[in-house]
Amino acid sequence: MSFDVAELLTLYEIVNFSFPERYEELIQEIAEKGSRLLGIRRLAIMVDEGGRLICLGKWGFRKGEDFAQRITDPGENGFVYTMSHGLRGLIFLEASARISGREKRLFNIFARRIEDVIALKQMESKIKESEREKKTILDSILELLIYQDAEHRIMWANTSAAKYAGKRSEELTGGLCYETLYRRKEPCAGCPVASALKTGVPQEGLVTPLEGKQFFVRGYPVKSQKGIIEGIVEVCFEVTERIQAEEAFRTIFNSVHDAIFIHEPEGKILDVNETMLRMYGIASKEEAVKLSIARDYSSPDSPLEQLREWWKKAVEGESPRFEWKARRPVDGTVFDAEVCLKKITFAGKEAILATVRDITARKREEELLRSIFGHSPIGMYIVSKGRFRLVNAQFEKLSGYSQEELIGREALSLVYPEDREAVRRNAVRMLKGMAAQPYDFRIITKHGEIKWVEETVASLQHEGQRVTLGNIMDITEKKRFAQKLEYVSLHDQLTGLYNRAYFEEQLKRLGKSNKYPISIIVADVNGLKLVNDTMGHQKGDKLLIACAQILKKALRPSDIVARVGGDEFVALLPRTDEATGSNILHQLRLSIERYNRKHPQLPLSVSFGIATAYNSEELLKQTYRRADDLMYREKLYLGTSARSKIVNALLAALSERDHLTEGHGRRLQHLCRILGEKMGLSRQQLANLSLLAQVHDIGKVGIPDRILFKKGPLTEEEWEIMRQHPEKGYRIALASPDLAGIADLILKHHEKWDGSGYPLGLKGEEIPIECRILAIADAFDAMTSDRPYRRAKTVEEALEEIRRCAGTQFDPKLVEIFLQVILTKEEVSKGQKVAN
Amino acid sequence: MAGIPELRVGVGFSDEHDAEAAVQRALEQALSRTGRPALTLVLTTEGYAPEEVLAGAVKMVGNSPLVGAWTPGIIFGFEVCARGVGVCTIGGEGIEAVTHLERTISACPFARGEKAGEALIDKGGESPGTVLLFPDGSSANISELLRGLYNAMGPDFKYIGGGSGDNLRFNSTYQFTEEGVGSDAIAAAVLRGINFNVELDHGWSPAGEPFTITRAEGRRVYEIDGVPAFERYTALVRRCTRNGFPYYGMQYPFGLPAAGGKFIIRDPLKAEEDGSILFVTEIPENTIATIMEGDAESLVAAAGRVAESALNTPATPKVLILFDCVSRYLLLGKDFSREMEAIARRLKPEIPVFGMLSFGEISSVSGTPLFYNKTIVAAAGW
Repeated sequence: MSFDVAELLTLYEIVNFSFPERYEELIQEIAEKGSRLLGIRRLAIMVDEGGRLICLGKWGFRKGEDFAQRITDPGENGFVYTMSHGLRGLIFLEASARISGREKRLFNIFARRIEDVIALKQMESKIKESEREKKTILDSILELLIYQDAEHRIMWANTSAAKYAGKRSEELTGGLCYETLYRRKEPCAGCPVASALKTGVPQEGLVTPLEGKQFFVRGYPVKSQKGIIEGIVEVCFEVTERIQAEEAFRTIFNSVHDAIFIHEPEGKILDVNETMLRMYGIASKEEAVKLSIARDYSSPDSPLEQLREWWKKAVEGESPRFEWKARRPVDGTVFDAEVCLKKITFAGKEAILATVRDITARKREEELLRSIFGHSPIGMYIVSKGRFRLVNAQFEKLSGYSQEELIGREALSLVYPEDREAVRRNAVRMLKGMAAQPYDFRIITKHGEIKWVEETVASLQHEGQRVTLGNIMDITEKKRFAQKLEYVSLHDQLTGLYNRAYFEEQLKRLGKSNKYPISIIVADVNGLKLVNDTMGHQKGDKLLIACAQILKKALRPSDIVARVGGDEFVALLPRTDEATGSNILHQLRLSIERYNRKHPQLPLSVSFGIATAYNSEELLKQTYRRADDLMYREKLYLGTSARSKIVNALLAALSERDHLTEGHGRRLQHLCRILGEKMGLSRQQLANLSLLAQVHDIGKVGIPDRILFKKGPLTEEEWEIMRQHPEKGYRIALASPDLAGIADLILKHHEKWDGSGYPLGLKGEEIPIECRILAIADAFDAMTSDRPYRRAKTVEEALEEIRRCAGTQFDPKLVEIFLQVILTKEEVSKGQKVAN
Repeated sequence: MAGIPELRVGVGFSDEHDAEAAVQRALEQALSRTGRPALTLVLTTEGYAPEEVLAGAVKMVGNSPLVGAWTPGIIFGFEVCARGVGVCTIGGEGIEAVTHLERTISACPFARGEKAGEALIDKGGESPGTVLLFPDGSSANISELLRGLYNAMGPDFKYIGGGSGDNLRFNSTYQFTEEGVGSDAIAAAVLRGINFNVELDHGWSPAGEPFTITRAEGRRVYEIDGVPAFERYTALVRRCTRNGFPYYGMQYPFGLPAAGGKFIIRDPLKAEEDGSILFVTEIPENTIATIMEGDAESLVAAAGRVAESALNTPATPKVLILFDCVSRYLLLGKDFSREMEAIARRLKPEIPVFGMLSFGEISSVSGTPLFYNKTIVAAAGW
């Protein structure tokens, strides 16, 4: 077998690969060598990856050309080489023409060489992959990882270190550790790397390479098989923040207002804060940690069993919070505390953190609040989920139920059923802050009494729940008063009818209503003033009440009757036409007549006016005015006759009351007439004198019986009333046309000659002659008549007395004449006969 | 003969100064033979602005495909013309052509080659044909470019061509198609309906012991057998000195083994200060090579053999296209006319000859397109 040079060179070259970095370049090289040296026109390399053939590279196949098909069916110019008996994959080579035996051998050599290269490359990839993995792992470590030599020169650094230095990993290599990482000129003081180098064993410690920056550094010496230190692996991480955080924690630990104990789960105290020392009055931590929480820091009265339970819960991971009687070991004083236990990790171990809060002040406050709650004059309650949870004494009192009966009961059940919805609505509004004013409603007490209450509610946190605090006040009285006030403001006190204000309101309201036709009756009590003045207001009031009752009785419920003035009444009659109105008025008049028949001593006289409106408000006011006018017209028409009736009634009443005085009147009339005639009085004067003799005491109708008929002397006060009768008589007389002419005489009939009389204190002849005559005659008759309290004087005694009073009490001239007259016995006896 | 298309080939040449006029004169001669062409091949030497040449040509051939390049010399009528514009028009029934211009081929030559191949397939389809290639021979790794092109087009095509260049001034050179003019580009055309019988030879023989290119990058060889390239070269070619290197390099090129016991020649260009050697064409690392030698006799004989074999076609060829390495022209000097004569002797006078002095030659005679140096490629179209 012989080879020429070219063939030898070919053989030599096909096994000579440059072993390129990337698979693409390897394929290029295979294509170059294959096409140039072996005339290969197509090739493909398939590798086995988990049982599947994956194309590592191909050449000479057009896009989309099915090369797999070509490999399966290589034909005469195709050559398939199986790598590791097919386990690694295959190599396909295609020549331009049928492959000769010689070519096949060359192809085989070529393919085997390719297989070697691929195997090498795969191994290389695996190594690279594992190196990459290692690098990824080291790079993923957050700590700074630096491999350095004895001179602190960096041989390798991970990404964290590079990131810290602000450079790429490769840039760190060769630099001095302290210079590259911390920009220092010399190694850090106390660097564990240096001591690890010296000692040959791992070292660690805190390093401050820069001001304000602290690092935790570990140095691990890396030794060769012979034990020579080749370098140091430095692992470091910044702990500035952690140290700052620890310092901050210490500050907080010591400055909180709660005492803090840190215990082992078994109970031994590990640490306490400064607040604890202050709170318990202990001098030092060393002393504090020696003592026992159960024995020394708890009051002997505290239930230690309970403490064990809580402790167990804390160890199991719960955070119990409870109140406790804490004890100061120094002096044994006890204070109220709130304790919270919590499991924590302390210095890498499980621990129990106990925070103790001095709640003495809070307890005091709670006590105060409880006392306020208990003694509040306001009914207070706490409701949660619609049911009473807590009530105070005042609430019990108010509702009539006991606390036991109320707790758990539905809050709204106490509310008057009709008011429940409003209460619910108002409460919700107030709880939402939409309303601030208290609202009122009715409750039904245990005893069935309905009470008005005023309530405010507020939302608050109670025992960890959101609850409603309610405050209620009993406003039943207030409410009643308000109702009364309302009644008063709209009603006339005396008659119980509506007042003027209400009437005017109704007039307006009706004016706008559709209750037309509306008739208005105006009624005015005649002679009220006379009655008031003479018989007193009580009588007048009686008259008004009588009038009101008659009106009320005669009118329909739909009619509105009001007292609009002292003696004036108005009735509004809705849906009443003129005819009906007149009919009603007629009935009214009949009622008054009936009344007067029953009460002749004080008859009721009323003037009426009626008018009807058919529409519009303006017309209604006019109608009222028209009715008023008509009433006045009737009053005018009735005029004096009405008053006379009253005066007559008064006289009747007077005579009925004082039967004695009636006889007295007649005797007096007789004596006066004689004297008058003697004095040459005119006929009119004599008539007046006669009348005066009869009615001069008409004013006495207003004097109460107890004064008028008093046995024994009158008091000054009684005299005062007594002395009013001339004026009252004067007013009565003025009201009566029959008596008006003698009104002045009635007024002056108690004047005395010397001016010591009353009411005007007239003197001498200022006193009308009729009065002077009456005075003498009256005194004589009085003295000569029996009185309940004394016997009658004799004529002589009487005359003597009159004589004695001449010039003081009586007109002396008249006394003279009177004496003459009286001394004529006949006259006297005549007079006595008359009297009998 | 039924089924064989009627192939018409026309050639023309002009050395008029005006580029447009020159191309038009040349085309007038060629088109008189072919009528409207399926493909126009335009070669131009320095002194003619390629844009003007192209504009002039387009005015004549319209939008029909056109491919061409700059060359240091145009072979026309067995003469080498160092100045002028030469054209070859190929037409006839059933003749089809598409062209493509791929630019910036020195960046990622493999990918650019693939892209050019895909473009040609896209434009003209996958059916077999002949690919005419005119890469910029001075810049890129043409071997890689060809491997990329081949990877896209596959073994169903024949590949021929020559590197374009500028008469060793190494300034810039141009490649163009009807799409435009490029530099650092490859102008390519696929021609269908015409058969080419391609032959290749160089006349160089191995002249010494083999050695290994132990470190190389592109066109630069740093180390041979682990020692600086120039040092090793002078040990092999003892007479060679640094100053004399251009001469000795041309005389004693490298031969890389190739299929069928043949050699691919790699032409050294320059001995660098750092001891490396710059080659005309890239040399892969880990390649076994040997020093080659040849003389006028062997070179001319090779040209004769190439022409003879190429022209041995089933039917009378209509054209002979030549890609003759410029270094052969330079090396042979006045003997170059002997090379032309050797070809002419084997050719019927009516068969037109059209060719270029090339900066590297392309042929797929060994199965795939390879880039050769110091070689003559002859393609007889029939």
